[in-house]
Amino acid sequence: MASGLELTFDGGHQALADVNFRIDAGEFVSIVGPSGCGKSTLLRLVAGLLTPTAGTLDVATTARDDHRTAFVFQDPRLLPWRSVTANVRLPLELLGRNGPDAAATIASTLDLVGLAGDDAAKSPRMLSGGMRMRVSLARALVTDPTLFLLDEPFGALDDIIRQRLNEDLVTIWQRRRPTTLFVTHNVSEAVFLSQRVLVMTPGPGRIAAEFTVPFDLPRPPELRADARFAQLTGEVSAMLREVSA
Amino acid sequence: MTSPLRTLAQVALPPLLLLAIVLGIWQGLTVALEIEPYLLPGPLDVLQAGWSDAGLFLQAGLRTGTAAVGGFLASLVVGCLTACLFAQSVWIRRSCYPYAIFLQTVPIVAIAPLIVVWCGYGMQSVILVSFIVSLFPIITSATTGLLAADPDLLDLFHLYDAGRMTVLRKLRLPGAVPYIISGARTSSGLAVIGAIVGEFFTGYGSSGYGLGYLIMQSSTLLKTDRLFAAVFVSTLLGLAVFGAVSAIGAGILRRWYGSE
Repeated sequence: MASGLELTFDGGHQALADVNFRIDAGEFVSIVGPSGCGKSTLLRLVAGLLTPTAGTLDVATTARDDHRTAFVFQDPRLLPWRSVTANVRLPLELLGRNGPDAAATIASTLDLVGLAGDDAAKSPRMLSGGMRMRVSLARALVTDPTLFLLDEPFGALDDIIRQRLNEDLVTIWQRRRPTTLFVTHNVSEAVFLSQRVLVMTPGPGRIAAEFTVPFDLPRPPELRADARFAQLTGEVSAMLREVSA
Repeated sequence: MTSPLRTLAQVALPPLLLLAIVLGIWQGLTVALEIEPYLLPGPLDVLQAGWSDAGLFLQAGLRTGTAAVGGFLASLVVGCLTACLFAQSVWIRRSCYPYAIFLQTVPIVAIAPLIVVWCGYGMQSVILVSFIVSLFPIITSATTGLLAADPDLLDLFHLYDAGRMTVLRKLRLPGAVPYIISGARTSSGLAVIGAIVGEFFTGYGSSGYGLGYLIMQSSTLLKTDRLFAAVFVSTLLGLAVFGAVSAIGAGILRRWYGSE
């Protein structure tokens, strides 16, 4: 999917150098790395929000041409003047797909992310941080994306809520099977969610290592207590420490 | 939990108490020192002057208020449209902004005669002066608000191929509402001042008079008690317009953000 990818910003700061990786359709891949290693930049390149200075990036045409790329930010980034439903409807409006069946699509998407019917009319301000992130996920998923990009979406949430959202995200991915690229600095989150974990190094950003995650689906909460889970998390963390040093 | 009545008392009582003390001292001094009423009338004289000419003041206040509201509404519309234009490109902003500042810095006293030459005496000229004086805060606050759109959200809109107008309509303008409201509050007070100043220079001809004219005339006739009353009514008018705009703004914000 990406080979020899490079990005140098106008100021001369090189954010990425010779990034190579491939993600298959329907795969869930996480990128872990220390802050400032360029993982968010990489995600924005994949989304088409930035253009590489060198190298090639092939994103399956269905994702780009049908606008079936979805992006989830670090913060929920909801429009405060819109209700939950109206926030989720936004991508459909922008793409001109706000037809008669939009309401049903929105309702099923809200259901998918675990939001109850009576939350739909609420203002984002009335929701907790975890609920807001669920709305943000629904907004991304409402177009039924084939390429699903998440930029440290659960970083600001407390641990229990993060774990619950991780479990739900695996279920959602299993049901819809979008090609998913998940950026995080939390190793156990990356291992829990993904089929593969890529480790990035800073200054300039490169992919330093790749781990395959062998655990079956679905992934129950108890997986986190499994010895094999602990071992793999330990290995990824050790690698991360090595490249960050 | 404090009741709204109690909150109101806590907010309103201290300034009212201070006012009563100041008025008391004022009245006491004018009587004790036997100050001539044309130099400084006591509060009771002012009250009497205001009361005996109540009809006059009401009529003048209504006319000045109409002009001020007209000027304010014009500023609101023109200011927001200008800001939408400014938000479109940094080059438009760079080339036009100095002239917007010119609006703020030009002494209205200096161009008032020009306005009379162009627009004649009457309501239209008073509204125009009020408009010029109150325009700038709307332009700056609305422009700031339009440009304050979150970069992530701009990315989101680009991801779904939204055009410039859609971004303006669905992201920038709704996001600028709190900024515009805060600019409108500043601007509403200025609009009243603008209307009164406008009346100094243009008046309404033979068709009537406003507070500005009453102030000028009372001053010329050395009717200082009526002058004070006119100033007091002007202040009340300013407070009323400012209060109304603030209340409407607060109402809009409450609905806008669905806060409970």
